Amino acid sequence: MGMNVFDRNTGFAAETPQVVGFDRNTGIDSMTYGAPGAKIFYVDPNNSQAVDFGNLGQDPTVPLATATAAVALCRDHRGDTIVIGPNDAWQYGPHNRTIAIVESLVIPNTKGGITIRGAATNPMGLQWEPGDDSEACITVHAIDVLIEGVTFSAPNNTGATGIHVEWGTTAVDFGENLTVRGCFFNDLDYGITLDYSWYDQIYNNSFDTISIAAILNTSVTGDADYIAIHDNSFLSCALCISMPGSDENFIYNNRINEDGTGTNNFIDLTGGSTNLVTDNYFACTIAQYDTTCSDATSGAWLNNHCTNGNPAAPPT
Amino acid sequence: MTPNERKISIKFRLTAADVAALVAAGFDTPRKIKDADPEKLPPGLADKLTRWHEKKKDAPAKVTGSAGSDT
Repeated sequence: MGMNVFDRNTGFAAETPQVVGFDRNTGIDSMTYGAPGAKIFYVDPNNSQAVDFGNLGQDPTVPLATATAAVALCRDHRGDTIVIGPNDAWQYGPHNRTIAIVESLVIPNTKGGITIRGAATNPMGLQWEPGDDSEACITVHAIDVLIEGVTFSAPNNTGATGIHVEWGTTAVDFGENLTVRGCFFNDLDYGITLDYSWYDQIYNNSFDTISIAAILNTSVTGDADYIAIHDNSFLSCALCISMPGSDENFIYNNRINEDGTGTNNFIDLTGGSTNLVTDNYFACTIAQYDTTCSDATSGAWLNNHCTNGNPAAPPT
Repeated sequence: MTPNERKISIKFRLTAADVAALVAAGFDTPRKIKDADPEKLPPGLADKLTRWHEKKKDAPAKVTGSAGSDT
């Protein structure tokens, strides 16, 4: 068993013996992670030994069957991690471990600071589908949650969302300071939706075939502010970063390969203020930049890149 | 302040007394505050929220379709 030393920003120990039970190298060395006393809970519905009730979930050879059961076992702000075993349910995978995670998971406000981590080497090895039509795969009502290494896809559902995070006016919803990284969002109506959630970090994700909006400020209760959105790629998304009314966001180094003849479909910050939008790569011309993005009054638009050069002026 | 009142005070740069007045008048979310008719806000608050209300008025109309030359 290795020490719980941090390996860059993943938090998992490197060069140490691996846990068994997931049929592949997980990079995880023990049952504890990060903070002293933190626990790892294993989920793998493809393991025939998987069971929820009465299972403490800390033995990877006898994992939990659902992420919902794992969240119930997690403790508030103790650094607990849920590790989910890989599957190959992706549409053209070999289909040997075919059971995807099919859950509409809700992380309540009593489960702050937990991590959900896919154990596959890339997110396509861990497909997560919603439990029903018009639901989100994960709804976050807790603060300081980290989600990484998951493919969110809804090949069997309509109206689906990958991740919804919300902060409410009562103590029920505290979805804030969320990190989503290294995830793939595919075949959904919405990728990530944000309501009155602040300080979220959304980076190194791919959004592909999103029929309404990849990242959306729903603004039912309030706007999503102080968000960092960077190093994401967007392909075949009706709207990419749709954050009208949002303030103080930092949006940089994203790659948007969409329809250059659209309106506000690349980055939309209309009505927002004090945002910084820089070094993004757009598959549109400088002239189209004026229409695919919005707008100059929302903050600083600097050094962005179009197919025929860098725009000298911000979009109107 | 409640967590919600604290967030409103940060968002709109308001004092605790200002936030209390807003919430008491039913403006208990940023959405409601930003959508409010300035005349219906508690006394003195319209001036303090000018930044957001001016923003709403000044949002430029977007041109659909051709945006001109690529020069």
